[in-house]
This record gives sequence, C-alpha cells and structure tokens, in this order.
Amino acid sequence: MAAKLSKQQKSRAGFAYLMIAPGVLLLIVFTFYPIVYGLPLAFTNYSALDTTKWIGLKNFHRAFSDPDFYVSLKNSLIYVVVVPIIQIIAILMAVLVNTKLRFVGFFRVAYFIPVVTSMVAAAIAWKWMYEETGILNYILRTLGLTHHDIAFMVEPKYALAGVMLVTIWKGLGYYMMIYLAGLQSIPSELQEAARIDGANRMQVIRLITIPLLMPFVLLCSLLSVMGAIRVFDEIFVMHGPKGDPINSTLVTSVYTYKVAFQDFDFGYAAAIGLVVALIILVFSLFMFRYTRKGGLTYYE
Amino acid sequence: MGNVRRLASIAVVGSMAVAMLSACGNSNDGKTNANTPNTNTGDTNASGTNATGTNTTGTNTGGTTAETPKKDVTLNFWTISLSPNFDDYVNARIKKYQDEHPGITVKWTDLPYGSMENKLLTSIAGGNSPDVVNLNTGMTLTLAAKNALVDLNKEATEEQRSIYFPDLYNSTKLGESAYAFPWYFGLSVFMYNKKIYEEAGLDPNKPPVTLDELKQQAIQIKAKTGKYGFTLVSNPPADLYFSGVPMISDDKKKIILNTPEALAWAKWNKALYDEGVIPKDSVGADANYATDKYQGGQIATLTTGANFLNRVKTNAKDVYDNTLVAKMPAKKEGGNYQASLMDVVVPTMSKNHKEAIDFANYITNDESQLEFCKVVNILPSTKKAAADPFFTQGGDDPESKAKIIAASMVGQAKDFTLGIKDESKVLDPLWKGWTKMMLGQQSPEDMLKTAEAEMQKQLDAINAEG
Repeated sequence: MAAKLSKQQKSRAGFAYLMIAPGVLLLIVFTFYPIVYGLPLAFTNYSALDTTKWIGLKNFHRAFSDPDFYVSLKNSLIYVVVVPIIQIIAILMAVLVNTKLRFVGFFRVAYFIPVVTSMVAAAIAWKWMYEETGILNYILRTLGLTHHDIAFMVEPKYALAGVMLVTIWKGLGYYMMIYLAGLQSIPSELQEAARIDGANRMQVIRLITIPLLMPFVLLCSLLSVMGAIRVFDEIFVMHGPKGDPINSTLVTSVYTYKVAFQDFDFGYAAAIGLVVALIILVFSLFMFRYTRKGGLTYYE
Repeated sequence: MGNVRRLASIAVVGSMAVAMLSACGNSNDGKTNANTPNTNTGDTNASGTNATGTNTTGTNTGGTTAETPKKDVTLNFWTISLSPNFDDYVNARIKKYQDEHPGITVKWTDLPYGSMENKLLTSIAGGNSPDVVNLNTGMTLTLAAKNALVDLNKEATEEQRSIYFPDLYNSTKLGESAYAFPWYFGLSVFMYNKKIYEEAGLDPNKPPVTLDELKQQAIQIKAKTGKYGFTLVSNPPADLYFSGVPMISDDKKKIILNTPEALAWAKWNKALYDEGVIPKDSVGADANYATDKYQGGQIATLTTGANFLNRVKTNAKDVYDNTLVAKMPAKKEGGNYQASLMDVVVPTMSKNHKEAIDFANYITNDESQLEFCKVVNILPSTKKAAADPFFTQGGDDPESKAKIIAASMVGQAKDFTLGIKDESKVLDPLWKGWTKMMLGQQSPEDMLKTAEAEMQKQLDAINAEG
C-alpha cells in the first residue's frame, strides 16, 4: 500500500506537475494529436480540397504496389547503416575526450560544433564541397586518388553515401556527449579494480566500460535509428523534394513530403507515414530485446 | 469554486459579446451589398485598360445575377518573393487601386517561392482562402485540376481576358477553362563573358547563332581556358517541345514523344555530357546553378532570364562589366521560346470573386505591368504594354540590351504545358528517363521509347478517371 504523502510532498509534487505541464501540453498538441488524427486519415482519400471518402485499405495496397515507395523504403533502410558507424565512432571519441589529455576541453567543443550548426547551412556547405570544382575533388586529385572529377551530387552511386556522410558528421558530437556523460557516470573504482586484477586497457573497455555503457548505447542507437529512417533535412536541401538523381536519394520522409505537399494526396501520405512508423516500432522492439542488459543496475 | 463560476460567467459573456459583434459585422456587410453600389466605375486608368471595366461588370453588365458590388471588401493578395525588393511598386499599385475603388482594401502578403503552394493549400483547407494569388503555371494547373481556382473563361469578362497574348493566357487552359491571368515573365537571352571569349581566342562580336556554334565555341573555350563554355538549364519536356516535338495529340489522348526530332535533340544533349563540354553537375541543375557559376567566372556564358543579370551586377560587378548580350541561339528556326510565366489566380473559396477578378486583372493590366517592367528586367504578358517604346529603347549597358533583345522575342513566347490534369505525373517518366540517359544508364533511343510508353500509361489513367 502506498504511503500517504505529507502536505509538503504534495505541494512539491504539484509544483513538479506544474513545471512539466507546458511540455506535456505541447506534446499533446503537436505530437499526440497529429498521430491520432493521422491514423484514420490513412484510410481516406483526404486531399484537403475534394470531398473526403473512407477508402479502407486502398492506400496501403497502393503503397505496396508503388515502385517509388519501394525505392524510398529501400533507401531508408540502407540509411540505417549510419547507425553503427555513428555509434562506434562516437563511443571512441567519448573515450578519447574522457581522458586527461591536454586541450581536452577544446576537442570536446570542436567535436560538438557540427551539432549546433544549422543543418541547412551544413548541407549547403557539403553540397559545395561535393561539386566537381569542390574541395573534395581537389583533395582526391592532389593525392593522386582520381584523375577526373567525380560528380558526387549527380552520380547515383555516390549521391546517397554523400548525404549519409553529412548525417554522420553532424551526429557524432551529439552522441559523443551522451556517451561522455555515460562514461563519467561509471564509478572509477570498478575500472581501477579491474586494472589491479591485471586487466589491460582494452579489456577494461571491453569488459567493464562497454557493458556499463549499454543503457546509453540503447538510447543512442534508438535515437539514431529513428533519425536515420526519418532523415529529411539534409536530403531535401542537397537533392530536393524528388530525391534526385533518379530517386537515388529518395527516402520515405522525402517521399511522404512529396506525396502530401506536392501531390496533395494526404491520405496516401498518412498511410506511408503509418507504414514507416510501424517499421520504426519493429526496429525499436528488436533493439530493446537485444540491448536491454547492461548498466550498473544490471550488476547490482 | 466561486472563482471557477466567475471565470465561466466571464467566458460565456465574452463569447456572446464576440458573437454579437461578429453578427453586427455581417449585417453591416449585408447592408452595404444591398444599398451601396460602387460608383467608381467611371474611372479610366492611363492605359485605358479594364480595371474599371471589371467594376462596370460588377455594377452594370453583371445583369445576369443583378449583384450589387459589396462595400468594405478586404481582398487578401498573396505574391511570391516580391518583398522587400518591390515593396514600393506593389504598395503603390495597391494604393492606387484602393483610391480608385473606395470600400475595397487590399491586404498584401508575400511568401517565399517554396512555401506558397503549401501555405495556399492549407489556407484553402482551413476555409481561410486568400482572394488573389500569384502562382506559376505548374502550381496553377495543379490547383486548377483540384477545382480550387475560378474558371476565368466563365467568370471574367471578354474585355478582361482580351488584353493578354493568347498563347500566354492559354497556358493555364484545361479543356475549355482557363484559370489565370498571365502576369510577368522572363525570356532567356544569351549572356557571355567577353574576357573569357578573348582568352579563348574567340571574337566577342560573334556570339553563336545556332546551338552547334555554341557547342563548338564551348569546346574551344574549354581547351584554351579550362573553363566551361556553357551549362544546361535543363527542362527536358519544354526543351523537346520547343525543338519541334509535339508531346501530345490535339485530342489529348496520345503521347507523341518518340520522334526523329526528339532523338536528335536527346543525342545532342547526351554528347555534351559525354564529351565533357558541359559540367556534370549541371544535369538537372536550375537557373541558380548557372548564375552562380557564371558570376563566379567559372562558365563563359549564361542562358537565362534577363532579370538574373541584376544578380550578377550585385554579386560580381567585374563579371557584369564584361558581360555582352545576344539573342538566344534558336532550337528551331522561327519556333517558340519558353516563357517562365507568373500568373495571378482567384481561388474558388474566395468570398469576393468579382472584386478579386477585378483586382487580379488590375495588377496584371497594361499600366501595372509596364510600370513593373520599368522596375525590374521582366516582360509583360499584355499586348499593349509589350508594344510600349520602353522595350525598344535603352542604353548600352547589358541590362538595357537584354531587355531589348528579350522584348523582341515576346511574340514567340509561350509557357510550355500539356494542358491536362496531373501534368507533372505524366511528365515524370521523361524527367527521370532524361537524367538516366545523361548519366549513361539508358540510350537515347531506349529513353524515348520507355518514357513515351510510361507517359502514355499515366495519360490513359488520367483520361480514364475523367
């Protein structure tokens, strides 16, 4: 039976609820309401201009026979490749900036700069770098790695990878900071004890640090997977709403945008959104299932 | 508890007061409609156009419905990317219109190019439609196909419709309906960097007249200076159409794409890419890409609207000072040129069709357009304004020359359109196929064959929907 709260505790709880109320309200209005509203929309032909009719599963049938949707789905799933890359590099960076190096503060700030840079500005800068006359081709030519300029933005085999690199570059600092917080929450006694027992540096990282960091890995991987499947800004800025060249950068969010705001087919866009949400849900459940162990609590 | 009751009472009283006030507003409108005809119909503007003529329609010739013009009408007018550069011009036109039409207030809102379509759609969906809107032809046709725009062939007068070049007015025609008054447009002229031409050993006084000459010059420029001679501002459907490919049959039932003319044009373009005559990045690039490269001195020529020269002048004065201007090398002798047209439409959800059509016609009439052309290097869509001496007179600066050259091509200007619903869906296979061909994933022959078949499939589906 739950203990009764004292007057002071009640007052504190009331204050706490008051503090979180604005956030909850915003969540309800801008997140939960659109989700709830979007569900029935997926079963209609809603276009904002014509009469709306209930069309059952027609939008879903259409999605699974729509080549562009398949391409966008495939590209979105390919995009998830950025997740392990970001996580591994971010962990290594966090381990690096967690040591007592000189200028470590500078490195922490330097790695974090891309995070606070506007995605639009970053994407435009990268677009320039990828141009035939851009710095990337200059470097490759100078190093003798290529003899002609590569059209990174135009050739389909480079286009998606080029955007993925921007996402990786932009995301590293963010996840590094979360891992840094995680590393600093690990009691140093555990690592010291392992070293006294004869563990070398790599063994300490593998057997102590990584397992204790697992809750952070789960959090970061989840955020990263969701971000990768929903990637939009960098593709939109660098390759436009069609995901050019020839659909090679067309991902589900860009396709949803195109269907909704260029074709005005909101019902179909809602259905696509729902399918993508279900895919993200499956990914999330899978990750909960395989990464739930870890952290200090697990060892207590 | 007492506080709650007090608050509830205030809320109820407050909402009743608001409701009563709104009711008063409505009843006031009603009175105006019933009792106050707009007496301003006698005014005639300088160009003798029909801004007032429309009012006449409202009062006199609108006899079929016997409607009396409303007073105290507020027209919401939305434009694309005109503010802040043209604030003075637009505000002055609005002021003049309001002075000539007491009781009508025009509220102007300017939106960025990219957000216009979404914003308009959401406003219409929210039941809060603007009355007069500036759109391009593509956006106009998209919204027209969704019955969101007023059919001007039905609701505007012959006098209002007759002031424009027919080819431009018909750009937004779907069946027997037309959905926009054409506004201003740009025509591409050929601008080139004298300094680069000289460095390449070319005579700057001999700009290319044909596309093959342009290609030959570009090859020489690349060989001698390492810079590109030109870059494509590609619009495959329009380019094909203006090179003599019919694209669609007169009855709008058959796609006609796979023709010898189309193959010749496709091969010509493909060779540019394969032979390294144009930058690879230019595949699918827009006018901004070309202008950026030109003003950066990386490309010797620029083929785009004369209005882009102003940007070159602002951003790269040295390049501007070295710029010479000539007529566009023609795709086809005596053929049409693509006009990138801006339109003015009236959404069906506007509550003031007559007044909105009147204002739309006013802002696009001879006087308004001529005045606008004097502010920025664009061209008018009305016959009388285009015939003004302003377009044949000017100095020796590149902008003046560009204006004169572009104006000489006005009679051949046309905004490419298939004139069907969901045009973008039909054209999509061509856009994709063209890029595939340029990147070497498809031969020109296969591209035309496949694109024609896929476009036909889309067209059949649209025609089947009716």
